[in-house]
Amino acid sequence: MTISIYSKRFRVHARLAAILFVAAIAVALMSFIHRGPSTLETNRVINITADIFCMVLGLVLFLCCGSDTQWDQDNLNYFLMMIITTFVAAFTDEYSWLVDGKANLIVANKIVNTIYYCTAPGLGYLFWRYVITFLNVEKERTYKWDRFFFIGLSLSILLRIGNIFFGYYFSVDANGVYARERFYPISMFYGYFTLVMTLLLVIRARKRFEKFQVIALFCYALLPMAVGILTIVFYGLSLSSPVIMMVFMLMYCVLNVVQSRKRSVEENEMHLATAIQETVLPRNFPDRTDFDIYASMIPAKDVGGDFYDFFLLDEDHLAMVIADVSGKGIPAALYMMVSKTMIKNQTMAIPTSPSEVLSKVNDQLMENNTAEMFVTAWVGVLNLKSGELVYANAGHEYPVIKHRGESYEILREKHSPPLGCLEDIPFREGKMTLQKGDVLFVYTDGVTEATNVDEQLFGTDRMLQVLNSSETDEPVMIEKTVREGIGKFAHGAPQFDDITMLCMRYDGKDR
Amino acid sequence: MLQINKETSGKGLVYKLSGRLDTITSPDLEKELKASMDGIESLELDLDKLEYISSAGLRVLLSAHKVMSKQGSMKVTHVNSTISEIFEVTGFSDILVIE
Repeated sequence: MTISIYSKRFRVHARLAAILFVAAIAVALMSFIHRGPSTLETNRVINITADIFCMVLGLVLFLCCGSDTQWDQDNLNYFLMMIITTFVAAFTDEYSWLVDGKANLIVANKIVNTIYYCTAPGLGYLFWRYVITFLNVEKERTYKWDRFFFIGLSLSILLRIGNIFFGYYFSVDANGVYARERFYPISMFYGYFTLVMTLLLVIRARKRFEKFQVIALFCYALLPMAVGILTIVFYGLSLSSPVIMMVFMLMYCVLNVVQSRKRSVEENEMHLATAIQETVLPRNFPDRTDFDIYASMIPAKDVGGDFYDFFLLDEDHLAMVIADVSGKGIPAALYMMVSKTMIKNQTMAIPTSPSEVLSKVNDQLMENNTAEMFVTAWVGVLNLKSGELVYANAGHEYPVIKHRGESYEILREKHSPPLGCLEDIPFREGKMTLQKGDVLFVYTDGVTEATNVDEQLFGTDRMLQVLNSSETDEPVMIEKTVREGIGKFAHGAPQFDDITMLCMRYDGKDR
Repeated sequence: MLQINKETSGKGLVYKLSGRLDTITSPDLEKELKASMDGIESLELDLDKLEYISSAGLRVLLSAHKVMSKQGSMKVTHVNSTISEIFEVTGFSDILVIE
């Protein structure tokens, strides 16, 4: 009996149930008016009004829960079933008061009372299941108890059906007057037994509940019990269903408070993670005459798996890194922090050979890679004196280069596999010499795979077009042009992947 | 959208993929593979109709490749030009057995 709250079937069911709820309330109200409130005794009027109030409350709760998506589905299902059962209890209780004493409605009297009697064990059983699903206890551990309670429930219902013929719990005489019989208290046994057992479980597992939740669960079990005991002594008032429905309201509020508190803690932590990640990406762009650099990373979620890096190895060597960790969110962000540190450390240790840097980092990543994450990375070291650029590419997007006075072009060369895929593999290394005024642009697939509302990709051709439309070759302006170009293209479509760019213009040293 | 067609023959398994294998659809394939790879000795992925593969999709291929290299072999077949370029760019052409 699990229906996903996201599924269409559930929505149809929920809507149908809501319509039935409204119809039942209307019928209940109309029958009440039809019977004539002024002709009824005060206690009946009180009971009937309380029952109708309970039904309205049930409808409101049902609608609130149905539109709430923060529930565990199994748990929600049992909660909804509890609401429905209480609703039925209120409805049948109301009717039993309306038909009582009508000689022509004996059968109806028996039926509504039997249904009403069935709701108590039903609620006991559902409460047990609700707590179990809340605690998320494995099926095997509660299997025996589950069976026991289920058999008890079936037995209780059978006994209630038997009562129609033998009248040991209650009877309806020839005048249509309802009366409790000798064994009435026994009919309450199963419901109270399951309640007590469930409460014992709650006490045992109290550490897994919040204080308010324990109080709410106890209220659920004890308040109706108190009302029940009261009605054993004083027949005439039956307020169990309204009381139960009020407790549901309480449980619902408690659950919402607890969950929104939890969520705000999570959000807070996420903000911290975002802030930490921002601090590891260099934001101080050095003011130098021999090169100009700018870079940015726009995460798709709060934290991203992309990163860029640049640092001076000595006065004459600039290292540049751009990389993309597979996956998104916290796992990717953690992996990104590790890879970024490794790449920087290895580049400092082996400043002359990016390919060796990558194979060292690859070995380190492979040592304990159970998460099956991989990293695509481009690492380049530029000699600021000679303009010589040595680079290696582990499965990353092709770099784009613009020689002075020419247009932007993609530098197509065969790549090595990404980092973290295979052990002991060599990485290819490339070399080229930059002239003064040449611009290098590296990026992640968030740029080329930005998608618009028609599901078209931004692609390398559009990227080149936008780059070539840039009027200046100031890195900060180039980044801005591409960012705006992507924004214009996406036209409000959601960003699926982190967008990262690094742009560097080589100006050379005056020797 | 991604469509996964599965053909089993003894210890061999062939998947025909069509559509897009991206962040949204790759968990489907991952789930399917995890559930079916037990005891399989040869796995073939036919990518003839695959339009696009993202890094999330590549990750699924990689983990399948890792599992299969322990218990048998995996190959990808009918790689069209779009996918082939992605394999080329990402260096996956060095990792996967492509026919």
